Amino acid sequence: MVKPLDYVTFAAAAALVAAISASVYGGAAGRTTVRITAPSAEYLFASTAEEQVTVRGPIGETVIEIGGGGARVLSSPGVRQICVRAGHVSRPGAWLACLPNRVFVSIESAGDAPIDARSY
Amino acid sequence: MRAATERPAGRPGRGAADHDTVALLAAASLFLASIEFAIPKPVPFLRLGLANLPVLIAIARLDTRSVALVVALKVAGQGFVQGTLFSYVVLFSAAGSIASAAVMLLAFRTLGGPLSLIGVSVLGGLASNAAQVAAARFVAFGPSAWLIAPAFFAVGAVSSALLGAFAERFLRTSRWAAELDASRRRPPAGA
Repeated sequence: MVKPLDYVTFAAAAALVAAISASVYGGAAGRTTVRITAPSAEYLFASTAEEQVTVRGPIGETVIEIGGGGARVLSSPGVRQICVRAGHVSRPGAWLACLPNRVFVSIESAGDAPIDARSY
Repeated sequence: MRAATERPAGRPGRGAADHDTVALLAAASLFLASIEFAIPKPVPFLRLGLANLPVLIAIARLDTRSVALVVALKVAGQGFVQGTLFSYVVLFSAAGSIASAAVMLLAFRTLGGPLSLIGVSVLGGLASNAAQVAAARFVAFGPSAWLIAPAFFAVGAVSSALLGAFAERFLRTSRWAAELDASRRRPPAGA
């Protein structure tokens, strides 16, 4: 019943599913970057980096830790400490804003940003 | 017994007999679309493709024009049954059905010897999925359409292989298929 060329189509289908899966789900984490924007400068780090960065803003220094595939703000001179309390971000499109010191940290993807939610 | 993937012995385009077969296959497609509609789906686009079974049979037994007619009626019937005839969803159905039928016809007519309806159906399933993902990517949902592609292709490959196996077996063993083949071998009345 199953003929020789059928096996070729099975192999082609399996290879196609594997290739599409690897393309869609694989490698995305390695391609994300952490962008730090401050009044004085802009920095770009691979999300795989392990670094502590200090940037200067109008009211003082903001200390950002890059690691764990993302970033978090260790300290910033703002009164409400919103960006510090926001914790660690790693998803492409996620961001932290230390507004009083005008420092913005965002996670970016080299590819397309993933969807937040989907409804039907 | 004739092999299921053997070319029809009769001449293509046998008038009323072919029209009857087209109507029967289109009705079967409509019925199977209704059955499919009742089967719970984890997400709307993951379908078994039961309505493709009559198309496979048409490809194995009818001429290209009749196959095109079955496909057109299948798209319209599916849209009618599922209430999507005048929505953008019919675009996915049409894209998938046309791409699938074109690839299956080409595969069956050119590789029919060493390729059974199982392989033909798998190729058709992949073509259908590719067309629908492309339509989703470029017309409706943008880049995020690719997120569902792996599951979509995997389910499509498995279900199309099962459908192809069923079609192959049906054409080998059913009395209807045997009678259809016999009628196509007989010369038309008045010839």
